[in-house]
Amino acid sequence: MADDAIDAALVARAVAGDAAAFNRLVERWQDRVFRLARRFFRRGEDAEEVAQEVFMKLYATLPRYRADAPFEHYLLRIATNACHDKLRWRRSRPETPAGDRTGETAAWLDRALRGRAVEAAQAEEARGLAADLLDRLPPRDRIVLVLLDLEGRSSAEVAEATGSTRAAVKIRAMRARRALRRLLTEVPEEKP
Amino acid sequence: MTTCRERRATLRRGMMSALDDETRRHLQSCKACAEVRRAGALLAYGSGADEETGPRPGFAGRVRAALEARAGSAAPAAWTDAVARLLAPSLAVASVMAILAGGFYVGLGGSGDLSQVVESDPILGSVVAVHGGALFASPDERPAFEGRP
Repeated sequence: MADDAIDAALVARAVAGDAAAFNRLVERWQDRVFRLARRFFRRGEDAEEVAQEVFMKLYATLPRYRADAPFEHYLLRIATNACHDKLRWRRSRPETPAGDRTGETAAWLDRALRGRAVEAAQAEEARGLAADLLDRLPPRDRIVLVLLDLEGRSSAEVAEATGSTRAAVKIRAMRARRALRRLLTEVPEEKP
Repeated sequence: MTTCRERRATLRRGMMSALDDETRRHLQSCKACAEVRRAGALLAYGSGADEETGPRPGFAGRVRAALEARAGSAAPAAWTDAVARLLAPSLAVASVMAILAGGFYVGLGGSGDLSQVVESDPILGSVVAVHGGALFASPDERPAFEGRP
């Protein structure tokens, strides 16, 4: 049976009240949903909280799913919305201001961006700075960039996931890439 | 020959390992492509793109437990809501009828003075417990509190 057909069958059974079918659906998709959440949330607990919220929303809206579209697209839309909501919530409550990090961290991040080896502890700090910088992007812009550039989704898929149009997605991506390049001014390049 | 535009799709993914030697050489001479690659690297590095992880074991069970907990907490609310919907009109009708009955009782009694009715009627009098008159007296005439029994 093809993947789409398996998902459609599991959804039909879950809607009919089969708890085991819903469990199976969660197990089939939990890693993908978690990895997407992890793109936006460095802490595993946060990513897991978002993933859990995604499956709870899925359960609540499952009767609305129509099998004429791939289940993955349906789930991606729920996951995108959940990540967006959490990003917006977190943006209003910053945990560690980027200004607290030292100039040394920027140097480590620069090394990492060049593809050079960085010690584990320094890499962790550098990753923290990179994540802080990305947190400054508007949530919707960041989601579009991650889906397009890291997840390899087409602009049509991103438009569907974000409830937007292809043209709007392209414009948003262009604007977000420009903002991303501006963020790099805070990571000075080491002179060769 | 690969153009800058074609290269940038790969560069945006930010993975140095995905770059071939020709692209690496190109980056040393093309500042715009180098900037795109650096921005892509920032996105990838800050987004944990190289981390292949999943949730902790037992995730599906935790989702199931959370769903059951939510359903459990939602059930009494739905039940009380239904009861409230059924009882609210009856309670409203009963309240109106009680007010009307009180009005008729006072009217038929002939006095028209509620305080006299309360004092003379054994039922209403029993409702107003120890110092029934205190309810209708002015604050100045109210008897002093005699302490707890």
